[in-house]
Amino acid sequence: MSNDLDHLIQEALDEALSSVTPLPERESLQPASSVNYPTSIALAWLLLVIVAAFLYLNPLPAEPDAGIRSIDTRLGASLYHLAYHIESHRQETGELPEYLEPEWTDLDSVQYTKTEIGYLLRGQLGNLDLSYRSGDNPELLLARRGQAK
Amino acid sequence: MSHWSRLDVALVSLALVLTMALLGYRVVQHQQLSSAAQQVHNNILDTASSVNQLFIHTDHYFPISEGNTSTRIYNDPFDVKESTYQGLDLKKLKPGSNHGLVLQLVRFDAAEDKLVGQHLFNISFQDGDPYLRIFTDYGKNSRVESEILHRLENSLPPQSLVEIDDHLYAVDLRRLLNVE
Repeated sequence: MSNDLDHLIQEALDEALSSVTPLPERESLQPASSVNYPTSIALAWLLLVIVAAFLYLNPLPAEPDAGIRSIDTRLGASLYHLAYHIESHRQETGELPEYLEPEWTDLDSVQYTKTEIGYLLRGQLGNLDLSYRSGDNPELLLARRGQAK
Repeated sequence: MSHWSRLDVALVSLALVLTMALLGYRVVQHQQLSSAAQQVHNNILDTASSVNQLFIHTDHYFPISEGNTSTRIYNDPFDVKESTYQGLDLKKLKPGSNHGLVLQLVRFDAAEDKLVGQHLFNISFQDGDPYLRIFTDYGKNSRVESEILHRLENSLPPQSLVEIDDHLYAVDLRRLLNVE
């Protein structure tokens, strides 16, 4: 009697186990962190690198061609610009500025001194220096070419 | 065929977004510079139009009246005299209106403007002819100034904008007198 019961239980268990679908192998699962399309990813990042390199090599605005700029002409033109700002300030306010605004010049060194009759500017660029006194002809600053001392 | 994983999508999306951001930034830069160049271009044309109006009505490029005959440069802050030129808006010549560039309307003088006279414009300059000189200072905005000038060279009629010297350019206004 007990052997029959054991046999029936064993048969039922075997039948139940046979109907269960086996679990897939662990390797065949698709975890969220897997990379299935490495070529596509590589192409996308390659495109980014190419675009970044192109933009870096072709900046906008472009770098001005500084090689042909003579330093003495640049010094004269920069002083003209500076004096232009000072005179414009005087024209608008009736007074000479007390100091030079930083955006008025990009010279390495510039001295601005108010005098009894106006002002004195002394600019320096590299080893060159140049002076301009209010009342002088400003056009002479623009006509410089190889004259700086 | 396997499906796109979240990591695939994230990596590709990030690369594409960064690429689009770089390209978008370049487009914005391009538009800002185009807008700046267009503003300077318009100021030049407005100045040419003012000169044209005076020439149509007086047959002179510059005002000839007592006290004004010696004025050679508009706008010249170094000149203590107030210079008047009917129809000319001097604000359009100032650096603040031209992204740092100084624009000045100049009456050509062969003795004073030797560098301009030496350059090959379409027609040689004669005393009294109008030109617009443009100064750059190649300071902090040097790259913007250069880019604007480069665009002006392409937008203005050929040989009307000439580089005279470092920092100094000249626009032959006679070439623009009929441009409205």
